[in-house]
Amino acid sequence: MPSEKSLPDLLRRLCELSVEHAYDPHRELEWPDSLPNEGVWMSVDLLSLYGTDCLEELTKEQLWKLSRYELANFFSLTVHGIRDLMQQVLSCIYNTGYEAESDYFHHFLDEENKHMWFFAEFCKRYAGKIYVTRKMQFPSFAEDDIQTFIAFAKILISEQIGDFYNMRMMRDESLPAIVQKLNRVHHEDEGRHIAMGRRLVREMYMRISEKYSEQRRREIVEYLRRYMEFFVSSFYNPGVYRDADLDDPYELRRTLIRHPARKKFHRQALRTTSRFFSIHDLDLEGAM
Amino acid sequence: MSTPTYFRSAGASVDSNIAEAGVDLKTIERLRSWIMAAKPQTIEIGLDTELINEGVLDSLLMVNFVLYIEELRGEEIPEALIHTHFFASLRVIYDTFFRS
Repeated sequence: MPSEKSLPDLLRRLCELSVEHAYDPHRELEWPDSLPNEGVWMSVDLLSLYGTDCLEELTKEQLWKLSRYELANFFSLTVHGIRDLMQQVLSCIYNTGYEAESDYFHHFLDEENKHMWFFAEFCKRYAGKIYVTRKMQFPSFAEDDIQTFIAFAKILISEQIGDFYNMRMMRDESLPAIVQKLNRVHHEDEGRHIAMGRRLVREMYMRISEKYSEQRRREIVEYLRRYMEFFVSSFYNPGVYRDADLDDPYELRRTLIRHPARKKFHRQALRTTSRFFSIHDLDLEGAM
Repeated sequence: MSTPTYFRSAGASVDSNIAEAGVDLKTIERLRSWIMAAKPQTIEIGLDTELINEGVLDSLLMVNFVLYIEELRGEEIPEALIHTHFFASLRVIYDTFFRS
C-alpha cells in the first residue's frame, strides 16, 4: 500500500494539478439558446420521487417538467453551498495555523468561484431563477475550534454528496450536453477539493479528539449526523413541487423523506461520506 | 382548562398583553408544538423565549421550521425575511409572518 503523502507534498501536488487543469468557463462553455422541454434534464433515478408511486403517477410531460426544476434546485443548492464554503475559507486563508494551506486555498477559491458562476448561469438561463435558500447561519458550538471543524466537515459532506449526483449525471447521455458537461467539470475539480477536505477534516478531528471529552465528541458526531439528514432533505423542495404543478408540496416532501425507497437512496448517496467518517472514529451511520 | 405553558412561563401580565395584542393562540400553539416535536425542550417555551439565543432551535432545525411556517401561512417566506432576526421568538414570528 503506497504511503500517504505528507501535507506539504499533497498541497504542492494539488496546486500543480489546479494549474494544469485551469480553464476559463466564460470562454470554454457553450450555452445553447434553450434546452428542449421534451426529455429529462436530471437523471430519473436522482429525482426525489424516484422509487415511489408518486413518480409512477406522473405523465411523461410532468416527469420532464419535474426534472427541469429538480435540476435547478440541485444547482441552486450547489450555488448556495459554494457561497458558504468560500466564506469559510476566506475567513481563515491567512490566519495563523493555515500557513501551509494558503496557496492551495487560492486555487480552491478560484475554482469554486467558477463553479458558482456556471451553476448560477445555468439556473438563470434555463430555469429563470435560482431557488432561494432557507438556511440561516449561526454557530452551533461555542468553541471556535469545534465550530471550524464543523464548518469544514459540512463542506466535505456537501461536496461528497454533490459529487455522487455529478458522477451519475456526467455519464447520463439522456441529459442535455450542457448538463453532462457542467457535472463533469465540477466532478473533475471536486476530486482535488475532496482530497484536501478529507485531509483537513481528519487532522482537525485528531486535535479535537485530544482536547475534548467523549461527551463533547458524541455531540459533534450527533450534529454531523443530523447535518447529513438535513443536507439530503434539501433535495425535497416544496418550491420545486409547486413549480412542477404537484399537489400539496409540503405534505409531499414529508411523505417522500419518510418513504422506504427514498431512505434506501439516502444511504447510497451518503455511503462514501459515512465510510470516511466511520474510519476516523466518527460513526455517522445512523443518518437517514 | 389549564393555562398553556407559554403563558405560564411568561407570567399573568404577559397573558393579558397577548389578549390585547390579538394573537391567534392556535397558531402559537401549533408553532410551539412543532418545536416540541422536533426537539423536546427542557425549558418552557413562552411567547418571548429567545428561540435561537437559548438554543431552542439550531440552524439545522430552522429550515424545517421555516417550511412549516410557510405551510401554516399558505405562502412562501420572502428571501428578505429569511434572517434570524425574524425568528427570535414566537411573538416576533407571529408579528412577522401571521399578523395581517
